[in-house]
Amino acid sequence: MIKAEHLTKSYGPFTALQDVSFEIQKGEIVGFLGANGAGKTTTMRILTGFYQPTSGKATVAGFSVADQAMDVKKRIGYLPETPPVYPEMSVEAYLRFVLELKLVPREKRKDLLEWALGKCGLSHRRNSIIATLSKGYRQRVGLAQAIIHKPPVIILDEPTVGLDPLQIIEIRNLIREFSGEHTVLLSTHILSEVTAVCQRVIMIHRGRIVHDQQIKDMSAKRSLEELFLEVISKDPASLSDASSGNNNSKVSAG
Amino acid sequence: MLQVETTIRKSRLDKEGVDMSLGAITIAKRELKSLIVSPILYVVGGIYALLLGYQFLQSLIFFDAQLQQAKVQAQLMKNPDALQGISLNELLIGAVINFGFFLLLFSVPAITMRLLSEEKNQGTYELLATSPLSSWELVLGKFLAGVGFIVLLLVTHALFLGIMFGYGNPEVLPVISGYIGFILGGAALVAVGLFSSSLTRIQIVAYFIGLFINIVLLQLANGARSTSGNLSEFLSKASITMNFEQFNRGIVSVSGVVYFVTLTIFFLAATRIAVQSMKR
Repeated sequence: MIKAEHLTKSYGPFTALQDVSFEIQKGEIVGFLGANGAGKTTTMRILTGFYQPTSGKATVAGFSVADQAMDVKKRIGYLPETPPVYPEMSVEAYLRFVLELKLVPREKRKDLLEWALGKCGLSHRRNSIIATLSKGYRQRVGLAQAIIHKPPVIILDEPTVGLDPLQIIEIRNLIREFSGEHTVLLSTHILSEVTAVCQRVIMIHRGRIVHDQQIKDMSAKRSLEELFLEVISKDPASLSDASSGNNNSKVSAG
Repeated sequence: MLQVETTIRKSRLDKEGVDMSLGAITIAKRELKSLIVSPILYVVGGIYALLLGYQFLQSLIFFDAQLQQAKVQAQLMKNPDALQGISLNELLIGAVINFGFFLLLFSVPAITMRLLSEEKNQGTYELLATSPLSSWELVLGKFLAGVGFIVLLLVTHALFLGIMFGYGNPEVLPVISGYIGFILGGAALVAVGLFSSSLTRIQIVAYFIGLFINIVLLQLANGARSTSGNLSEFLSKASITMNFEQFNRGIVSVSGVVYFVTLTIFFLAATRIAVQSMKR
């Protein structure tokens, strides 16, 4: 459903992503785990077509992100790092705008609006102006925006950031419900989130994929925390030498 | 290789053309809703109405003085033709519409400055860029919203026109032609303002870039007056106010329409290029 092939992204001399490849099957919920600045957001932006990769190729739902952008955009829901909301609009007006923007047929809009408001716990705040909402509620509006058109592929950049513990549990339950029908890629730097929600974890460190494993295959002895710390404490240079053997002095410098 | 690339581009363009108007209207509707609740509209609209009203008063006093003078002249010299030279259309209505257009040079950038820079600033551009919406639809939608603002501004002309047509007997056609020029010229200024808004995420910077371009388009008129021959003619054809004055005198010329439409298309195309480059 999502396929990244040798994605590289550089900003001038700084390489944010280097040779990132992975594949996500339909219905999988995958956690994208990494420290701040590891390249999670960059990868997600490339998958959604917001950034052009410097090299490499991304495919979503069988369509090339670079050449068939419209087909890809019709099939994804995306929650960016900061919820993309218009502060002067009411929650309901904003979500109606998103439904129109996502080309949802008129007759389906009302049901989907109610569904998303209910799922994200926004029904009682539907007439609130977004500027007056707390950070947690804005995050919910952002999440509602990403799922409202029930896209086959959902990409969430740190979906639970800014939420209180109760809200986090609700949102995690919501994401778990998507399993099977929707393909979800969510990024986080909270380790427990991955084990709570995801079926698989992809770890990224300094712009490289350093680990990729099914959660159920993980040994009971070694927790995710230990694994993560072990992976990121390794010098990325030695990792890449072991795997591909190419030069990556840029990465370690950055 | 190059050929393949161009065909890919072409097919993308074709696909982008689908539902073109739909997405543009979605964008324009939302933008106008935001504009109506924004204080900028009321501040700009209020100042605009105030200045326009003052200009109306001044023109009225000037018109009255001219009329009295002509009456005296007609009586003393027994020359009824003196009154013929006093045109309500030209001295009063034309002068006010002309000033109203001049004010657009300063007020349009104040409205257009936020159109794209705010999207970038508050991160909503990320939503638009990852939705099935072509860059043309985005640019066109924002442009339509700006033209909507020009139409809203015309409400401030209603009182003055009401008085004119209620108490006077002006010719209708030059007034209509003046407003055709007003809307076409206003649309061109919206395109300029939209372009400047696409260049930066700081609204005030967008305002001054837009204002600068407008003033250059205005100053060409002064250039035309201070030069002679072909250069003067070229500058007068390139000046935004001189083209507008043609309309305001009741002349809807092909060259005037082509001028404003070309200016609009040029800046919309430039905006589209800037919008596409916003995706890094």
